[in-house]
Amino acid sequence: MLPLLLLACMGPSDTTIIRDVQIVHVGASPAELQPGESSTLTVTVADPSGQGVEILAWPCTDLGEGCAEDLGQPVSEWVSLLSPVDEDATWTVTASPLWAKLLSADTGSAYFEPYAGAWFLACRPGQCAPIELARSAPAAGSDDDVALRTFLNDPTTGMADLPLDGAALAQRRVPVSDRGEDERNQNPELRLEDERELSLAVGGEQELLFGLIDETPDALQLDGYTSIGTLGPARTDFYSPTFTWYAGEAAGEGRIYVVVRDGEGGSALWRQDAVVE
Amino acid sequence: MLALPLLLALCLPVAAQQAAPGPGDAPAALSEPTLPVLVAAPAAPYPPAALAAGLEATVLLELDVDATGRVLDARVAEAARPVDPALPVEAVTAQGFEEAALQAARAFVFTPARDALGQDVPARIQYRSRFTVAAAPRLSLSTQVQDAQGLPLPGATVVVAGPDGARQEAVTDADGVARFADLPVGSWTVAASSTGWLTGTASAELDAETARELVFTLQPDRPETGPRTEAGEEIEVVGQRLQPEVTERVLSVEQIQYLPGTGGDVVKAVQNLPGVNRAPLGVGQILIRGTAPEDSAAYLDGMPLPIVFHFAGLNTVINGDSLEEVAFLPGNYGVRYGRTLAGLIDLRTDPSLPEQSSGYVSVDLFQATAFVEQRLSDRTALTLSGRRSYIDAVLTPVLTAVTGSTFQAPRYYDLNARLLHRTDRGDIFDAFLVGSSDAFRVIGTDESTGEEETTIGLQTRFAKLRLLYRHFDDRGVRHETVFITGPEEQKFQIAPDGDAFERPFDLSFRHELFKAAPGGHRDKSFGLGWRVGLDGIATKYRFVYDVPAFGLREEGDIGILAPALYAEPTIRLSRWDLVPGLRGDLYTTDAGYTNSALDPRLAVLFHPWTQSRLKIAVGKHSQFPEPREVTPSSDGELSLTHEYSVQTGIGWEQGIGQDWTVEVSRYYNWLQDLVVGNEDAFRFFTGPPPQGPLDSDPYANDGVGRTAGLELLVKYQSERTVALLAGTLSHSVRQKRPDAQELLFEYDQPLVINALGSHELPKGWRVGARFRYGSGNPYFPLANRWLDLESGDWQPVYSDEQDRTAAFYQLDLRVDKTWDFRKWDLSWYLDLQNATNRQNPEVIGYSDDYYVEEPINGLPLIPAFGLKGEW
Repeated sequence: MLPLLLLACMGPSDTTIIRDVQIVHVGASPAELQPGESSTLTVTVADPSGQGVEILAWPCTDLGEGCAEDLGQPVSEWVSLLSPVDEDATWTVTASPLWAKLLSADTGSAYFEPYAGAWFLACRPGQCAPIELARSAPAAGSDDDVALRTFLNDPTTGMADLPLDGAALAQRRVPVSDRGEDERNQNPELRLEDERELSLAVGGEQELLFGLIDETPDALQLDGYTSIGTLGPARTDFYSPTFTWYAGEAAGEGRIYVVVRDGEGGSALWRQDAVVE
Repeated sequence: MLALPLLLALCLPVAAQQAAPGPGDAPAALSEPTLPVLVAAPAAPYPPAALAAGLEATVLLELDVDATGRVLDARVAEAARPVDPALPVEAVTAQGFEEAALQAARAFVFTPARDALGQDVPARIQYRSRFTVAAAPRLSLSTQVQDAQGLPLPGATVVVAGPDGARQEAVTDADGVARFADLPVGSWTVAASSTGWLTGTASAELDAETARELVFTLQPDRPETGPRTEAGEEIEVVGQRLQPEVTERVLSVEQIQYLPGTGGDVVKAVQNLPGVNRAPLGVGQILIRGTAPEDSAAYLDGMPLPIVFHFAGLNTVINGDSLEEVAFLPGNYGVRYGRTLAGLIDLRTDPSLPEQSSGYVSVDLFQATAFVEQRLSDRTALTLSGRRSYIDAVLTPVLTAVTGSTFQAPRYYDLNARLLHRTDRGDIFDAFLVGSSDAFRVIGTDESTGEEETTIGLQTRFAKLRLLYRHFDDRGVRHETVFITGPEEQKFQIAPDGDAFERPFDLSFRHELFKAAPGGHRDKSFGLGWRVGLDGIATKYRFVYDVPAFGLREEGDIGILAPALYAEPTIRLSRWDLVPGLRGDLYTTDAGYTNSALDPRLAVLFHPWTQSRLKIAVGKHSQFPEPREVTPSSDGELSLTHEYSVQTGIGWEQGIGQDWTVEVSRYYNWLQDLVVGNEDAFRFFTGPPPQGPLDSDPYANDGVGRTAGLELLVKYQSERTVALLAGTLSHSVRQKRPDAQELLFEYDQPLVINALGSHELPKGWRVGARFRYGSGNPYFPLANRWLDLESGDWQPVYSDEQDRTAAFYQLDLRVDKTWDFRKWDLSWYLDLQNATNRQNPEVIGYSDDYYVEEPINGLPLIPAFGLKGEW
C-alpha cells in the first residue's frame, strides 16, 4: 500500500514539451490490414534543434522471444534507413500472410491480437550505434551483426546505451483482421476549427478548438506536444476537443502537434507552426 | 527531581550577622561585605508521617557558618509553622520538621562570608526551611532481578507503590536492573513479576539514609514459602524463567514514550535498534537485516498480527500503553516462531493487573487518544483505548482547493479493548480486541453522469480478537493456549474499472507447554528444560486484482490450513545452555497446493561471568509462498516450494557496571528458493514494488540472496538518562534467476547509525535528541525512454547498473514538561522531527515523460506537539 500512497503524493509533470528529437506520430494507411496486405506508415519526427534526423525502421512481430521477422537473412534486407523530409518519412509494413491461418483457426480461449508491427529509431546523425551498424551492412554472424540483431530484437533494452537527447524510439502496431475494406477501421480526421496563425505574447495563452470525425469518438485519446511553451490537458467533448496553449516565458518559434488515436489502430496528426513574441 | 535548584531557591537567607574585622587585620581597599551563599544542600528528609498526611511547614533556623563555609552549629530560631495559614500551629508541631531541617542544615556548605576588606570571616545567618509536598525530597531506587545464580533477568516488570497511592513501573534491562526516580520518602511496596514467574512483593522504607537498592533473587522452582521482604535484602520470587532468545532487544513502553523522533510509537521505536535498516519517509516499516518488510512478521504476545501499521507505516494500530514492552528479534529466534524468512517484532502485553485505575486523554498534531485502565475487582481489570486521526479534517479542504479534485485525506482510527483476569494461583485469562480502519480517497466526477466517483481509493480495516489462557501446573509446567481471529480487508480502487482487494478471515492458534531448565550457571549443575507446542493458521482468503493498467485480472478464493509442531529442549551444563529445536510446518490449500518444511535450529549460550553472555546460533527459517503465488486462477504455480533462510549469528553481550550495556553481533544469512516472477503493479499487496526491468516470467523458486552484517549496541541507562548508540554495517544482495546478475537488494543500506538520548531535568522537564545517518538505497537510474504510440505513454528504460540515493541525515529534538498535581498530571511535548529541515532524497521519481529525475524528499521539519492529561 505504501508505494501507492507515494504515487498519490507525486505531482503531475508536463509531458507535452518536446525536449529533443521525438517521434510524435506514426500514421498508418490503411489503419487496418488483412493478412498479406501492406500499409504505408508515415513517421513524423519533431526536431526542434533542426540538426537533422535519420531513421532506422524495421518490422517486428514480437512473439516474446524477439522479432519473428529475424529469420537469419542479411540484416540489410530486414531494416531500412529513412531520411525524413520536412519531418516526415514513409515506409511500408506488410501483414504476414500467416495471420490468415490463425484468424480462421479455432483458438479456443487463447486470446491474441494479430498485428503488423514496426519499430522506428530516430537519431541525430552519428548519435546512434545501431544506425551506424545498419549502414555498414555487417556480415552475417559478425560481432556487429550480432550486436545489431540484439538491438533490433529488444530495442527498449538497447535504448539504455543510447543518449537521452538526440535519440527517440517508437513502436507502431497496425491491427490485422479478416474484415473487408468496407468494415475495417478508418483513421479519424482532425482539424483546427478556427484556422489561424498561432501567435502569442510571452505569458499568453490560447484555446485551440478542434473538430473530429470518427466512427467511435468515445474511445478517442488525444495527446498534444509542443516545442514552444506548453499545452494544457485536453478537454474532450466528443467531436470538439480543446487544448490550451500556454506561451511560457521565452520568445521563439516552434511547432504544436496534436495526435488523436481511436484505440483500434487508427490515428491522425495535426500540426502547425507557432510563434511566441 | 527537584532537589538542588529547588532548595537553593527555597532556603534563602533571611538575616545575617557578620563578625567585625580583627585588630590585626591589615588595611585594604574597602568593598561591599558579602553573605555566605549556599553551594551544597543535601535534601532534608521529609517526615514520613507528615508527608503521608500532606502536612506542609516552614522552620526558621539559625546557622553558625565558619570562615571556610561549613556549618558549625544549627539551632531552631522559630518552631515549625504550617504553610497553610488556615491551619493551627499545633498541626505541624512534633511532626519532626525541626529535626529534619536541622539534620539537613548541618550538612550545608556555603561560600564564606567576606568582610569589607575582602577576607573570609565567620557568619551567623538565618535560613527558613520549607517543607512542601511538591518539593519533597525525591529518592531513587534501583532493583536488581536475578536468578539463584546471580544471572540477571531482563524483561521483568517491577512496580513500586507508595503510601499516597503513587505508583511507578519499570522493566528490567539486560542487566536485570529496573530503576525508579522521584520517589518521595515513605513506605513503599515493591513487586516484581515476569512472564513465567509469579509475582513477588516486598516492602521498603525509603528515607535519606537507608539503602536504595533491592535485589530480587528468583528461584527456579516454586518454593512453599513466600518472599522475604526487607529493603536492602534479597527477595525471593517464585516462578520460572523463560528461555531468552539468542538476540532479543527489548524496549519498554516507558522508555519509548520519550524517545525523540518516534512520536512515542512503540514499533517505530524499534527502528532505533541495530539490525534495522531505515525506512523511507519516516514511516514505521521494519526492514530487518537486509530484507523486505514482507519477510518479517509482527506478533502480539507470540501470535501473528497481520497488520501492524495504519497506512503501512504511519502509526502502530495498537496503543502502546496497552503494552508492556516491544521485543525485537532480528534473527536466530527459537522454534516458537515460524513461517517467517527474516526477523520479527513481538508486542507484549503486561500480564500483571494494574495497581489502580488510571487513564489519560491526549491530543497531538495528527490524532486524539483516550485510554482508560480500570480495576473491576481484585483480580480483574479492563483496558479501553481509542484513537482517531484528524489530519483529514485539515488536509481535505486544502487538497481540494489546491488540486481542484475532491479528497478524503488519509484518516484512521483504532480501538483496543482488553479484559484481564488473574486467579489466586496466577493463572491468566486475557481477552484482547483490536480493531482498525484506514481510508484515503481522491474523488472525481463522472463526466457522463456528473456524479462523484472514487478516482483513487485505499482502504484497510480489520478486527482481531485474541484470547489467551495461561497457567502453571503443580510440576511447574506452564500451559498456554492462545487464539486470535477476525476478518481483515485491504482494498485499492481506481475508478471506474479498477478494483483490487484481499479479504482474509483467519484463525491462528497455539497450545504450548513449557518447563524451564533448573540449575544455574555458577555451579556444575545439569538441568533440562523443554518447550513443545502446536500452532496453526486456518484462513479463508479471497482476492481480486482487477486494475487494467496494473496487469491482467487475477482472482482467487482459497482455504488455507497451516499447522505446525515444534519442540525445543534446553540443556544446561554449568555455564553453557544448549538449545536445539525442531519445527515442522505443513501448508495446504483447497486449490490443491501442499508443501511442508522442517526447520532445525540450534542456539548455544555461554555465561562466563555475570553480565556477560556469548551467543552462537544457526538455524533454518522457512516462509511459504503468498496465496496469489500458488493459486492456479491467478497464474500461480502449484510446484512452488517454500522460501527459506539459513541464519547464522554470533554475539557478545557485556554489562558494565550498573548503567552500561554493550552488545556486538555478527550475522550471515543465506536466502534460498526465493519466489520470483510475475512482477506487476499488484506486487504492492505482497512485496516491495518492483524496481527496474520487470520479471514477467512465471513464478519460480529461482531467487537466492545473501545478507551479512555487524551490529553494535551501546546502551546507557541511569536514573535520569537513557542513551543508545546503535550502529549497523550490512550488505544484502539478491539474484533473481540463475543466469541473472547478482544485484544489491533494494533496501540494502551499508551503514546505519542511530544515536539518541533522553535526560530528565528537575521540575518535570525532559529533553532528548536523536541523530540518524543511513546510507541511501540502491536503485536503477533512468537510462532512456521511448514513446508507446499505442497508449501515448512514455516508457522508461533503466540502466542495468545500480546507483544509490544520497545518504540520509536527520536530527530530531524533543522536550517534555510535566506538572504533577494531586490527582492528575498534565504534560506536553514538542517533538521537532528533522529539526534542521534537511532535504533527504528518499525515493527516486521521474517526470511523466521520464526525462527528468525528480527525487521525492523525506519529510520536512515537523514540529509535532502533543498535550496529555493523565490521572
